[in-house]
Amino acid sequence: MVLKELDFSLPKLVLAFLGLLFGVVPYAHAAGSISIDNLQAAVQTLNFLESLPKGGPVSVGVIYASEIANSQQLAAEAVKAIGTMRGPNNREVQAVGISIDDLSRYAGHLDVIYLLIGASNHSDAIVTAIRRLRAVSISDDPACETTKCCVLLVRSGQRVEITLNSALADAAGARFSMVFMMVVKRT
Amino acid sequence: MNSSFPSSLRVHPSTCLRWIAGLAVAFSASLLHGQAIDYGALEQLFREPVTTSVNGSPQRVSDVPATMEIITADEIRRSGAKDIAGVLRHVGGVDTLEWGNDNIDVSVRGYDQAVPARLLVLVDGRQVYQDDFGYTPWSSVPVELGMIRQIEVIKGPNTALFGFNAAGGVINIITYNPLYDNVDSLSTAGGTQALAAGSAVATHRFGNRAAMRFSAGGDSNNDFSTPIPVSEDTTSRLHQYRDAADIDTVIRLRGSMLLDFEATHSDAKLNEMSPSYQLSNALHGNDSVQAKFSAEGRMGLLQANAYTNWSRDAVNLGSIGAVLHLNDRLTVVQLQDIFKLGAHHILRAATEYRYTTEDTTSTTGGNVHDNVVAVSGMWNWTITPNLSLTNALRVDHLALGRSGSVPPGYPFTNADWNRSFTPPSFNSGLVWKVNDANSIRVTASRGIELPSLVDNGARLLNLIGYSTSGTPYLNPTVVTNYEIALDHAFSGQHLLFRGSAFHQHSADVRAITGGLIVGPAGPYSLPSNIGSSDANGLELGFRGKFLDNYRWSVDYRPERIEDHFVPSAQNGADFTDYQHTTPVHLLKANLGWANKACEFDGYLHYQSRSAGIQVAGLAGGLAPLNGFASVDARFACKAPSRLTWAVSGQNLTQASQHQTVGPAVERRVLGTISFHF
Repeated sequence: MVLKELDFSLPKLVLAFLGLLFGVVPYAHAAGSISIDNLQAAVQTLNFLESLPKGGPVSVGVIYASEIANSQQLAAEAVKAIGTMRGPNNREVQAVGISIDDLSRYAGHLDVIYLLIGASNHSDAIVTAIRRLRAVSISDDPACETTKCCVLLVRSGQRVEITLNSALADAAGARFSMVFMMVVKRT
Repeated sequence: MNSSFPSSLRVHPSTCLRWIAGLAVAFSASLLHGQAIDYGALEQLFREPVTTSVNGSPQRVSDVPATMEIITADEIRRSGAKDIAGVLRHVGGVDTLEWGNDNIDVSVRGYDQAVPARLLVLVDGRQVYQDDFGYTPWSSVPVELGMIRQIEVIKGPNTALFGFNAAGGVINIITYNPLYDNVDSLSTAGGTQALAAGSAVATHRFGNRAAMRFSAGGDSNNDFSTPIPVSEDTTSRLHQYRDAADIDTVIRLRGSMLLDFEATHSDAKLNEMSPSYQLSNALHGNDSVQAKFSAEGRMGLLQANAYTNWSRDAVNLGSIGAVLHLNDRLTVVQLQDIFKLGAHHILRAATEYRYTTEDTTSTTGGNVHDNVVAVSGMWNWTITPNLSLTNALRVDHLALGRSGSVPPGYPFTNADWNRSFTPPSFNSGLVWKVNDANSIRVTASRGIELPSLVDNGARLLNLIGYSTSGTPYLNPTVVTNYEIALDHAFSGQHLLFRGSAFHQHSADVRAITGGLIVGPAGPYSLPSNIGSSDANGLELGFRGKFLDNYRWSVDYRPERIEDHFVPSAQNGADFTDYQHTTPVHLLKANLGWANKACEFDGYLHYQSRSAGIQVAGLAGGLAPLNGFASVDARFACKAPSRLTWAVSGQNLTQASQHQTVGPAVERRVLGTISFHF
């Protein structure tokens, strides 16, 4: 009986493993968990954003793709985590979750747009928002580099890798310190 | 010791102010915004130190096209050392010769000797290496351990960035910037050898516009009491002391243009091994003023720097019966611009002027000086996201000169000093990041070591039956270095391997004797170029962490040196030998543990059998030195949180141990109380 159950479950396990390996998990419409390290590194890059308004709290919009099942929950987690972090000169960081569907109607002030996994599939909406809100988009989703919707791709793995999209930074009116631009990769 | 400076030789701070202010105005039209390097914020972001010491532009240490070590403030504190040279003793690939309690000579990749000339030492880019004898008297470096953010050790030549004497390596000590870093600490220490020491560092910000850092410290101690070998015993040991102070003011001008003024002072008295391997009593006094300006704009990152160092040294030569009074002045003006060209190119253009002057001693009346004008450039090309190439080139034009009187019967006239050199130097490096875990570097570099002012003629001793002089006819030593290196990260961030293989060729090696010229008043002994030297070596290092609280590192450097000296200079006869005095095997290891309240570190130093130079008659000779292992350790706890109690010791396993052919090194234990507020 047990052997029969194993026979039954083994192909699924292998498929799931292969799926994980090649990024085509059967539950492809669910995102993983957020990375606190990546969020922390993203907030720390703001120390080098010279165009950031000098006073008041730093406003971060956490953008999630509503078609992804657990994205709203991940956005809530990211908002909570970002809210505990400190910005440049120990400034408060205020975060709010925004669905990609609501982004075009968002009327508040944002300094930063943080893109969760999947949001970069809506690159047109994001780039439009960046231009309208004059906000810097940051993500740890490598897809955003391909879709050209993140000013900064910030990933913290074996080492912290940061890629700056100079053209998009110009479009967002973002100005980073020269030292920062010399240390990061640029596209 | 002469502590007064002729007014004609001074550069008044007000002159520097006017110069810098003029420069600021000249460039302000194109400067929109700027930021000097905030090392702390960059290190926090990238989780690794950032440096500008390899090619002038800011780089993560894992990206630099050079083999380097960065000793962080945390590692400095945990070293348990009482001074900078003591910290360097624990660093892989760094050679130390500990002649006394305050006298450690430091070099990298071998080639250590008494008064080593191949290692250029700077504090925030300002040279503290002294051009008189051509070395760094560590006791007089005006830096407290508590004000150091990081010590950067670059292995191999880097003349293309820093200029002359960065021939074997560079140590750049980076201090905290009061504009970005809040550092306030008091510490006091006491220990064996009657050590009493105190140190204070304080920073204060005046809004967002200005900040100031003040530091002061001093210590007093007895030298070791171990017997001095007969050949080195020319004078009795004196009680040693050191005092130093530094004040640094950073002003944020319009936008974020920064202006930085710094003044330093230090005095030190110590027993010091002389270049002729005899123990001498030395007094070192140093003063400096410096003004720096930095700004960003359409033109890039612009930096201007001007400083003057005055040094006053008095060296009692003991049995020779003479005291050398060395008063030299170094003035440097530097201007550089670093800018990006497109997304893949970083360029640096720089120019520099240097003036060094020193009066002759002990026969007075003459003055030896040199003027250097240098231009340099650097090009960093990111060929692909994982492959980058850096090329740096520098050309220095040095004009030597002498003025004043010459003693009767002197074999030279001032016209003999009308010589010039225009040596080029370069650094080239290819860095290939194979993947997140592996990185390969291939580098080649050429560095220049100038003859010291003493060897160039500032030393002029006319004694009965013995005359010695410097000479203008020495060639600079040229060091070329080739290496290939691999960094590999195992299993996450917990184990890192760094390895490099290097070949180094030194042409026109210099010795303090070997030359002879006969003038109307008799013969003069002169320094000379004695040949070349080749080194081949490996640097293998592992460092890792385990069980959250533990860290460890092992660095092993096998190295073989072959000297190709003229027959009369073989085996240290001219007080220079590297083949026999550099240990073939050098190993450093560290095991550390820490929790929230306490920390412990143990350090092992092992080096294989080698030799040392000792005086044999009027010449030098080699004396054997057995291999040895020594252990250092530190244990510290915080109680309460702002107060740290520490006990540390060096050479703990033996009461005394022969680590050089000089006096044996004694066990040292010190207790330190530090208050951070």
